[in-house]
Amino acid sequence: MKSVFLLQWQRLRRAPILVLSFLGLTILFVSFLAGFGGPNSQITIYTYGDPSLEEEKKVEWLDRLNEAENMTFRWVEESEARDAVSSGEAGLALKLMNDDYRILIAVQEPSSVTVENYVYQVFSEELRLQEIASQVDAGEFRTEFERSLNEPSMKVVTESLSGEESSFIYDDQLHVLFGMTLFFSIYTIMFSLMNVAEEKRVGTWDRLIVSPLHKWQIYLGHLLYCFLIGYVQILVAFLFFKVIFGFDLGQRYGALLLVIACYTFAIVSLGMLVMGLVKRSQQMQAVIPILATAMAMLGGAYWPIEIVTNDIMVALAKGMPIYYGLDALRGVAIYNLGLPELLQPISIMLLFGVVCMGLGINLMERRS
Amino acid sequence: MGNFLRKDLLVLLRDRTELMILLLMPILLIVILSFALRGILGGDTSDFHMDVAFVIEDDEEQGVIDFIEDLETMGMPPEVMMELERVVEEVKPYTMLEDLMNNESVSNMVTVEELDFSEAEEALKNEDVTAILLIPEDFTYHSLKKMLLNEGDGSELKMTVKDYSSIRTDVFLSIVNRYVNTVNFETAISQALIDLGHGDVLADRAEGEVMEAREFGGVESISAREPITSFQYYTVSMAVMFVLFVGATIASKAYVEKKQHVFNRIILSNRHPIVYLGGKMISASVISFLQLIILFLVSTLAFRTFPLDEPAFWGGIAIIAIILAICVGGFASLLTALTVKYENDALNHIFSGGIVTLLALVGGSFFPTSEMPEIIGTIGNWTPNGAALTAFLKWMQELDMTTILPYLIRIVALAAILIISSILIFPKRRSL
Amino acid sequence: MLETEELKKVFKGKPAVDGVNLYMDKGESVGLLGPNGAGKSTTISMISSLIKPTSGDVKLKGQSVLKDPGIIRNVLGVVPQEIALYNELTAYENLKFFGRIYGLKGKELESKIQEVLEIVGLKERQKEIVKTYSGGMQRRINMAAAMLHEPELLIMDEPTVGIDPQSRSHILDTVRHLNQEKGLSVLYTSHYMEEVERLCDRVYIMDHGQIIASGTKDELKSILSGEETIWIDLDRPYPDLVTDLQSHDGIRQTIETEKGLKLIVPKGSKLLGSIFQAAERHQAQILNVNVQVPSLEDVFLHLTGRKLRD
Repeated sequence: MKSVFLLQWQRLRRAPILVLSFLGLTILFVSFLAGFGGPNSQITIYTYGDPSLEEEKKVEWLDRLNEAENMTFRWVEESEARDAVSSGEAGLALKLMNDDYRILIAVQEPSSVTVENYVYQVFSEELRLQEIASQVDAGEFRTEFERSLNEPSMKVVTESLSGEESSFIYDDQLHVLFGMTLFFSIYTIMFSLMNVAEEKRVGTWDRLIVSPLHKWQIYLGHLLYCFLIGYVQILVAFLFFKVIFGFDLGQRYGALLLVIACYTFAIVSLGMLVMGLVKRSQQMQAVIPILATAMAMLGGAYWPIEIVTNDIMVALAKGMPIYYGLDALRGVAIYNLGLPELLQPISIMLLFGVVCMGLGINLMERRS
Repeated sequence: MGNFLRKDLLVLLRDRTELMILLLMPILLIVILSFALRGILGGDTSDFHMDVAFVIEDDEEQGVIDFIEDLETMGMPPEVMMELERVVEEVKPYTMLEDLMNNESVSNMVTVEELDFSEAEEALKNEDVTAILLIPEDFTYHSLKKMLLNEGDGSELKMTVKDYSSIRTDVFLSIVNRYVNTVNFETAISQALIDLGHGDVLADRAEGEVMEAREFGGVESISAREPITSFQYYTVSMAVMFVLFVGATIASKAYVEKKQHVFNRIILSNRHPIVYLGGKMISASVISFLQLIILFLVSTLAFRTFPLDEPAFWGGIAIIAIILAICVGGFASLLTALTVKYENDALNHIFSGGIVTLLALVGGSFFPTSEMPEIIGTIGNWTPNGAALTAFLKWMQELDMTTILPYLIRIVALAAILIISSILIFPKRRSL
Repeated sequence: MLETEELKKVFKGKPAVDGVNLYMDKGESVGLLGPNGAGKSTTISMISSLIKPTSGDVKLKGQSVLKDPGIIRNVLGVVPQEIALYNELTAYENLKFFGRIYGLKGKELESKIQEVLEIVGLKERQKEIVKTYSGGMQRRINMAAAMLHEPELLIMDEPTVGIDPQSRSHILDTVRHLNQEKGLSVLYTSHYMEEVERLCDRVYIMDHGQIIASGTKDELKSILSGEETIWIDLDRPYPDLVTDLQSHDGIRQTIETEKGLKLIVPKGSKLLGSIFQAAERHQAQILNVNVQVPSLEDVFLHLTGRKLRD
């Protein structure tokens, strides 16, 4: 087993490009996505005026709209706004009129609802205030109003079940890091597993079988290698972002390592199952990318799984090991959960791994 | 050339499993995901539902009585008392909250259960409810004091959620926030008016006379046609991503052929080696085109994603699909050249695993590029999938060839670059 | 030392190997001949414990290999038909790996590697990557990898397919050397009759999953010992001459060949005179005459009705 295991590293040394590329891609993707904070971080809204719009009103509305924290309303020519929307560079454009507005879209996107709501709120409040201000001394009223608003009569406080007020967190950066790292590790692990199929094709597998090695030793050598290569890739990516970019992965390193190990094991096993199911290694090549992308989408690596409402889909997501991997990683890093609370995702990943591994090896052995 | 093409296509046809994977997996995935995301993407909230628990420690009636007693002890003149008592009836905070919850748009999404605190906590733990909203003791009393007399610190609603945030809790929180903001906004107006001695304006407003709502705002399509639904966007963006995988799959065949020495035999057969590349390129294009068209058709038949009765619409879709398919052929050709030259399949793995994901991200397949920095959108429109996505979307909006022509030219140019570089890279006979 | 008992393997209802009995003594060199699809590779796979027989058994020194495949694996070296090497590694790295899986270590492993490299004549190029080797060199390393652990029995499945004459000759010499000097038992399958004639003491001929003949080379040839072959080269075809000879009582078979005729006649029948007379009668120009005793190839042809390389 040891020699089979070591051999894989020797082979990796000769052909490291695959593994290095996927590690590089992980880092590239996370830096990129986490760097700009993922979708919805800062939206630029192309804004233009109806020909009837007065200059004074334009300035007023723009100032008022730009009070938003995560939206920038940028003044552009109508043609530019229209171009941007129809080519998809902008999700929507805002047409200002004196006391009215229109939102122009090409595609109905859920994210544009946020902007629509915001603009509606600004206009309805502002129009209300204007209406009242018109009956009294506008300047005085505004000042007094602002003062009163600063002492709200009602507040909402939010806290989590565990009672810690700060734990209501949705950390975009960590979500991206976890999602992308787990996603790309699928590729590394499964493409590395193709070594087994390759050995069978070339004939070295038979050589190993007729040697005194037991079959389980040969499998174990390969599996251990694939496990480690995936494990190391995830670790390196985590370390990189912790050390270089200061991502906060929490303090429970032991639990973190355990969760990664369980996830890696589940993916290695899934890879074995896929190999058992396909006839040739070339089919693996076609299956792996689609499988990885599908798992990532369904399991919530690309977008948060919470947006999925359909029960069947939620059930499907719960069939994806990556779902539990992400769940457990977030539990450890963000919510500082200990092992007892992580028992459920961990044991599901392990169970998933054992079942897939059993089926996979069985199918492969039956074929030969 | 025809002969090579026939061979490549035959090889693909023989391997039914792989062909099925290539053609049908994307459809399957889109169907699955469309179920998953349809609710949210289509703006359809009927699926989106949550239960919340209200823990009411406040006694509204008692609060009102206490408040009025306070007024009496303060020695307010009777007519002011009368006026205030009338206003109190209008602005009882919990009643307003209840009204909001019973409003159709909210009640469709949120079902409220009144529980005591320990029950509510249990329910939250079991995920029977999304959140607990605690209306604390003397909530009415403190709110009224602050709202009407500007005395005290006001009141606090307490929301408790599970450790994990979710879209549901976000939605509920925003509903509660909306309520609180409205209360505060209105209160601020009233107080400002009272402080400035314009009680009359306030009184008029309370009469509801000036309150006639003006119509304003609205969402319009930028083109004459209906806006593209997010479901359509999603279908197209997934299609342009999945089609890229074909390139690597076809090129991977070259690796096998090289390994099995079929390749050398082909080269020795006194045919120009470029013909071999051509065969790969065209077969990738054919498969890609079929994949795209099947995907659009199946999606239309199953979900009515696109209108079936517009030949012009489908003509344009076919043209864009052909051009994109040729570009995928270009990828297949370049990958084949690299695979044969270095006799290494890893490049195909990296392409299908990494490069495609990268292109998909930049090209707007995961989420619209409009949500990313502008530079990404610009780069994205130069990727074949991104340019094709834009072309598809523009076509669906305007059915105007001239507006999509620049994008089609980009894709063609990319295809040309890919094909030319593959020819340059492809090993010449002498060097084999 | 090795024997198989009624070895049988059924694939999808079709018997690939149908009751094969064969044996090998220590130090013997045995050839296994048969056309493609005769079941040679399947037989070898069963002997080397790669696949399980449907029924029957393989016995090594009286012990059942089926019950405990471990007993054969340490004494067995298999040279597969394909080049089963990691072609991105060097020859040395490959050998080191295959040595280790047989439990060799350290100095012993090192000296073994150098020894087999010496034997196959690639000592100088051991640090090169296998992918860059010529086909013949790859074949030699393919063989070397099976010899590191000093097997008592070497099974070679067409080890010389598709290589240059030098490498082929080198491999054959090596096998003969190992067999004769070191007492290694060799089970050799090949398409090339002359290789088997050169290497093997005893031969099994397989067809349709069964052994159809076996024995020493001479024993096999004696199957045809009652006959000899006369090759006659003619300047052009003479159909009348053929009919004439076919009706001749003494000639068992008359076959037209590219160059002329091939006649099968009883041994020592002294028919050359009457053949020449017949040629004279039809004014046929005889260019060359050759009388041959039967080869293994002829025996094979006789038994299977198929040429060996069909």
